[in-house]
Amino acid sequence: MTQHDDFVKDFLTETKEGLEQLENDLVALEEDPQNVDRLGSIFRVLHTIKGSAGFLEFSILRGLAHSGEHLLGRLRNGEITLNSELSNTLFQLIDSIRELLTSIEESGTEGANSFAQLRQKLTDANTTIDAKTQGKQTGNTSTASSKSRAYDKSTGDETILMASLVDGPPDETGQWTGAESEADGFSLDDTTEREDTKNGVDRSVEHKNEPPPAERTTKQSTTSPPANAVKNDSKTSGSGLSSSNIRVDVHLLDQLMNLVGELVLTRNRLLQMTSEYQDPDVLNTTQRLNQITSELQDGIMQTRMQPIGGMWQRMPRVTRDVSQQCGKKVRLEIEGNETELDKSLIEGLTDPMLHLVRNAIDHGIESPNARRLSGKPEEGRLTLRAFHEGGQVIIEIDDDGSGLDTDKIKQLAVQRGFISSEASQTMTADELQRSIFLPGFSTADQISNVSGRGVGMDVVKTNIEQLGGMVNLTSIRGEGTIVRITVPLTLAIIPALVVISAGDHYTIPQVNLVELLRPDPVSFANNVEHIHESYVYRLRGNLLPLVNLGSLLDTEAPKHPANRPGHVPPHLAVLRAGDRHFALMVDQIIGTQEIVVKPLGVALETIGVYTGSTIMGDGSVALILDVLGLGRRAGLFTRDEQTTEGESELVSDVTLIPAERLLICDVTSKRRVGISIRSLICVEQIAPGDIEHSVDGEVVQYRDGIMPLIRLAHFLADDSETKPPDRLCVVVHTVGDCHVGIVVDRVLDIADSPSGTERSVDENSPITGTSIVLDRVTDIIDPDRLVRIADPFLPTTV
Amino acid sequence: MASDETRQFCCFLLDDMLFGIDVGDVQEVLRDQHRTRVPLASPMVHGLINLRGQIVTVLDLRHCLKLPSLTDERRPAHVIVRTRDEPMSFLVDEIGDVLSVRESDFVPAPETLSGVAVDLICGTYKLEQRLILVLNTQQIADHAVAGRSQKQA
Repeated sequence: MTQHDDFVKDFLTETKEGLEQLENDLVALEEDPQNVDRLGSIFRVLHTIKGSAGFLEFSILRGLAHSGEHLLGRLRNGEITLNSELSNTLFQLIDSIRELLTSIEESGTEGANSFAQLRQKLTDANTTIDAKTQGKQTGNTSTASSKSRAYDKSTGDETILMASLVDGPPDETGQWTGAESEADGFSLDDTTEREDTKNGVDRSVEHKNEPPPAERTTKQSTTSPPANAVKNDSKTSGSGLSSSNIRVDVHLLDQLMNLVGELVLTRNRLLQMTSEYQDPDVLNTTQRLNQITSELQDGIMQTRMQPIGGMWQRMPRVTRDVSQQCGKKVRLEIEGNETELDKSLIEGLTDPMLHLVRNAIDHGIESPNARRLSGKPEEGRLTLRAFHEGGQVIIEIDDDGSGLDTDKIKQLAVQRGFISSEASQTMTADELQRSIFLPGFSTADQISNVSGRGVGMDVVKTNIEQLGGMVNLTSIRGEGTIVRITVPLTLAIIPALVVISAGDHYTIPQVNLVELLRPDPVSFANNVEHIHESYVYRLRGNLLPLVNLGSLLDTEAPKHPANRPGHVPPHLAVLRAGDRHFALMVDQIIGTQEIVVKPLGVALETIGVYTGSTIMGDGSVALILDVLGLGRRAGLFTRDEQTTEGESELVSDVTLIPAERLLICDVTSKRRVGISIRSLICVEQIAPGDIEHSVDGEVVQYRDGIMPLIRLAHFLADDSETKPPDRLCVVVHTVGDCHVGIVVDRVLDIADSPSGTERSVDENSPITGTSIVLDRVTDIIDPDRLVRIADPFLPTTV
Repeated sequence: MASDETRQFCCFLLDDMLFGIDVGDVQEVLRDQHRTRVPLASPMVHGLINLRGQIVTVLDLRHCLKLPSLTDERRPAHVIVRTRDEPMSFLVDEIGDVLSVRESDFVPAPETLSGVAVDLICGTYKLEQRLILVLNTQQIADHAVAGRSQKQA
């Protein structure tokens, strides 16, 4: 039973690989229907599937393969020729076989679908073409004439090509087909080869007159170079596959990798210990151990590496299908097939790659008509390129299509409320182009079957970022687009920042790191503000949420970040969580290091702030922090969950100049306002007794200076009852070097200003608009305008 | 006769009680290791250790069995147990011997065992001097995994 299962498993893996080969051969054969090598290869794969399926008693699969094989047999014998209808049927056959394989893999059986319709189609294809050929053949035994007729129906240039063949001496043509049908081999080359050796001396003379080689040379000139490249690749990778490769379970490799990692650590410790010894024997031995371990490590790493070409095998088929669906002509070029990267990365990249290829054909490359009009060749070019650069793998998807229309992007982005029209004026083309990675963005005028539903580019971006990679895009209007994906060589080993918090080591993946700061303790204390139970840090005019790692992980009691023993400068790591940045405070920063990522146990999976663990140089375990999870725990994203999805993603995008953030306050029991947070620095509680009076009204002493107060309730001429003033809530706003306090009743929350704001144009009112925030009507106040209108006494120095 | 069959248990002490785990479930036994604590994890989780490159979750068996924490200076030991998903380390006071017991000496868990412990103990084996309390290791592992989600809910 288990042996049978093993057979099935091997069968599935082999057949899947075979199908990929078959698919590529079929795509190539479509371009070059006379390529006998391809035909032979397709035939062989189907024949193998048929045989194995029969042996393993998968009757439906066997039947399908048989029908397909029969059809191919006739193709090979020249009885029928490949047309687009026929190749579509053959592609359908591949898809159906794949469906069957999935069913076998999942349930162990072939499932209920017997594919009777497809089998009928395959048989029909045999008979209809039979009828056609027979009707036209009029007793001529030479297949050449039937071929030429079949070709009349297909594209023009092929007709011309075939004409030369038909014009050839009939007896030679006859000899050729005769030889082929006699021989039991699949490829014409074999036959010719055998004849050549038989004929010996006459060979060179014969060769010139023989149509097959002649045909092949003509063919070669019309075959596009990429197809040739693909052909050569598949040939080299195909030969000797069985003899020099073995299949190894990935888990075994992972295990070996673990052990090698451990060996490296043990070696490191041993090297340290033996460095004191003077004995040359001990030193030599450890040196040798050192060397072998390094080589072993490299070797094991190498086993996980796979050429990207494996994943790209699917691309010719995808290109063919999509371009046919879109009515476009696309030539696929592949460069750097042999570029190697980690197996798990290849798996993670497959979906984004497929998406980008579809996108490039559907949106990038224009229709043949449009291309002709703009003076380009009708056939579009799509290049997939992969190469190593600076320890990373670069993958480019390069098309010569229309490029991105920045005007259209701008118009759409404004129209859909992604950016304000003012902001769009100042955005660079690059920034605009990047906005196609926003969720819900699509520049296609019409939503097609293939792509353009507005989900996609953002998913591509997220997927690649999850792999620790980046996506960039360069596009020139009218000339094309290059999407550039940068991924690390491997996921198993990543660069990370090692930090200490509350005595424990933690690691932070380098991809999440924006910058490291060590601010002066005094200026740090001045720049830390306390807003609504959380802290923010003013960094170069931006407010960054400030989170202490120890407090967040409950390993330390929560405390004011600036309240630190002694005057030690704090260590801050500015991290990127999704599109947001925040500052993480730790006790010490050790430095960056390459770490080996290891999974967490099941009991720890659900905590949500760790992505894994790793082993440090001294053999101890350190946790890898999940920066997104930390941000979530720190409450960075809670507001998003209240607003609708599309909105939140956009306002949070730093590159796009977000809509304004508002501090929502109650001024009186009835009046609620939102104050733009841009120039606010903090919220303070002040006892009414602290208020003093100067020439221009109420002031308080604040940070060694004088701060005038503006009572918003008075200013808004609202006489509804205010809270009994035992404590005054003061929102501190900066004007140049001075502070101005805006007195409100209560501070509620921070919210994003909604897009549908009713605008007020009255320059003499601080209210710039009114809208609904947190379910209440809220006046939006521009603090700068408020200060200008209230015109409080501003001391010149602080 | 079934009653003459013997089973072997890896025994250890926990709060002066003798516990046993079927030797078939025990991968290995270790001295105290450097443990890395995992903030925010279930209190049953006592940290992580590096077991020849594999990272193993350590469960505080005293906490699991609602026993008081180890107060003296004794350094605990690790019993690495194979569970359904992965090996886990059980932190115990002191490692004992591997003891063979007869199936006929099996007695179900005494009624006096309270609350949680009932789920986690399969039963006992009478020895001449004392009892071996047999742990249901998978159940303990499941408790540790679920412990976190209960806390979250």
